Amino acid sequence: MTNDQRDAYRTIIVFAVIVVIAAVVSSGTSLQPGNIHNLIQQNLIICLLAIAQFYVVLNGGIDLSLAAIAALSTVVVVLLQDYGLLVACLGAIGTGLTIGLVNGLLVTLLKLPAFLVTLGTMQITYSLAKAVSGGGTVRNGAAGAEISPSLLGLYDDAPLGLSNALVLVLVVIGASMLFFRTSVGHFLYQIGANPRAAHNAGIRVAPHQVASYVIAGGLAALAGCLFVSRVGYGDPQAGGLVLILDAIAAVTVGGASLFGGAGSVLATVVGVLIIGVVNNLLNVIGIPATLQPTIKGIVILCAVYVYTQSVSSKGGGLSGWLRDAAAKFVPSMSRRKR
Amino acid sequence: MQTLRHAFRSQPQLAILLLLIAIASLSFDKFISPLNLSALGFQPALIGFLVLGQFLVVLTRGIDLSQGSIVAVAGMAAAVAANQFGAVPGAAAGIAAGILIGAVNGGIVAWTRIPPFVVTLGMMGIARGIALTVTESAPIKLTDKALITIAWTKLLAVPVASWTLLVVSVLLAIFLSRHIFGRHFYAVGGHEEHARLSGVNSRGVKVLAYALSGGFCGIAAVFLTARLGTGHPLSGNAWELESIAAAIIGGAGLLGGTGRVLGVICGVFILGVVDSMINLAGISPYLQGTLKGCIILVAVILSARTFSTGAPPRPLAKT
Repeated sequence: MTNDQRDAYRTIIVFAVIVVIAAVVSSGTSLQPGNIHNLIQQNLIICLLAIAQFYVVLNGGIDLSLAAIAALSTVVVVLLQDYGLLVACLGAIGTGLTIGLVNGLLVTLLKLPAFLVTLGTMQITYSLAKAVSGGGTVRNGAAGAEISPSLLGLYDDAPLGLSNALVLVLVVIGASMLFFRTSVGHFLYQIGANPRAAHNAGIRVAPHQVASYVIAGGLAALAGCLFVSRVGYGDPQAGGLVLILDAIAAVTVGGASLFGGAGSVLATVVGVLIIGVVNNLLNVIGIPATLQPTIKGIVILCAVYVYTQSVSSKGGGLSGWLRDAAAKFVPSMSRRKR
Repeated sequence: MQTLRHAFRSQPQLAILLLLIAIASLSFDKFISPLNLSALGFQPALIGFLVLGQFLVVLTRGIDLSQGSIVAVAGMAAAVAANQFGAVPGAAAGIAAGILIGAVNGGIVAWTRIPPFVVTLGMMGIARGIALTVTESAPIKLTDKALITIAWTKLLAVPVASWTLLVVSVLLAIFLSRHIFGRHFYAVGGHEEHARLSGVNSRGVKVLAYALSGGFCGIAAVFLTARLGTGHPLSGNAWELESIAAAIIGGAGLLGGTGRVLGVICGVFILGVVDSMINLAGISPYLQGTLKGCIILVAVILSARTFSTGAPPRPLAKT
């Protein structure tokens, strides 16, 4: 069992604990099949954004422009409806890939901090989305075509509760997990852990980093397509601050290091579920929705704090911290001895 | 020619600013009009307060992404307090709210190993959520007339906000270049471990930097709220981007320990003049955002490569 698999399992344990708490607080209703179904359907977009963020975070970067790319993609996919669904989706994803490429090139070639470059491209992308849509939401293609029913029907229920949207996200999850088993995926871990060592080991650092931003941009655009399917229109301000923070919170709660080189796709997905359950829990307790950014900010700070405090340099997150705390009382649990 | 070249070397930002103003006034007739000049004085002055704070934080090798959200919270605090108790308590409440949030930022940065951009990114969400929740997402109307009057008053055709910025930046410049604690900011940014081992209170410097950044956001928020007549929970959105850009254009190196107050203030007004030129050129407001973002990014890239390595702060005069 590798370090990262172990982290993933620990994150699952944390998830189980939170589910139990949620079940107790909501006196069982949160465990009803309908509720679980809703939970999964609601968090598919965040799941795509979180996986996208994970690709970038893994190599020590961060992409604040992902939510903006998703917003631009919602506008593009609606405006291109005149040319058919396939062209529209490809156009949106192409836009995402392009912005990802710009991000990647700026970060790697100019050696500027990732958060600064992507903060800039975030503003540019949001204004671009507004410029393309004319400021408001868009409901028809540029020449007036309706949004394709097959796009709007992505969330419709299908046998076994597997909506097309869910299948799509599962495919992305599966493909990403397979990707990180290939040599290129392993290189991304190496680069994130220590770029200089990776360079000295003969890995071409810059192209891999650029690739991770490009993949992230494409996945964010895909999330934008799902957004259109869910709400039925293109919105140049889709998501906003909460969506950015949600994705980063899911990645950090999943135990990925913002310093790079740690975490896994599976743990990130579990992180999304944790954030989803916490969101539901806050709803049940009656916390106003406007307080969402505050809570997400606190979650991110706590998750990163716990990470920086965990004993091992690799892996960590909430579960690793709990284990270290337990090790103070039960020496045999110490991770250092292994 | 020799002196010109020397002037450009020692104050590149000032030279670029003057050049831009010359170009703008030659290309656009309306650029010199009183209305445009007054607008040019006010909006960059607000960002100017943020830049002073951002500069202090960047000087200690940090970054403050929460400035825009702090402006929103401080603006709400100022509006609520001014409606209850009057102009002076209102302004004080706005600035105090800013200092408080900034001090929390500084405390977390100084005492934990969380990177500054993560701390302030978290605070960006936390503060924005507070601003939205306190007001239930609705703007608060400012009923205190005195505060509004002050914000619209002009001395010698220049808004009070700009005069305040001038006074604050002169004080800050003197503090940073002449006071021993001001020199500590450069020391911490230059090499934190060396500074700490030389007896510099590096944690205190960091907390003060972020707290002052919050306080400057508070001043900007008070002027903004008074000028608009409302405290809006979404105000200050993306202002941190402009303040970071202006700080870098102004010669503050992101690696810490370099830059001067005059430079970063020129940085703000460079962005202000560019903004005004885009406006006068009559480009659609939505494309303006895109264009401005691109210009900021290009300027940051250029200045990060040219300015920040040179022009170290002047050494203290020997006594």
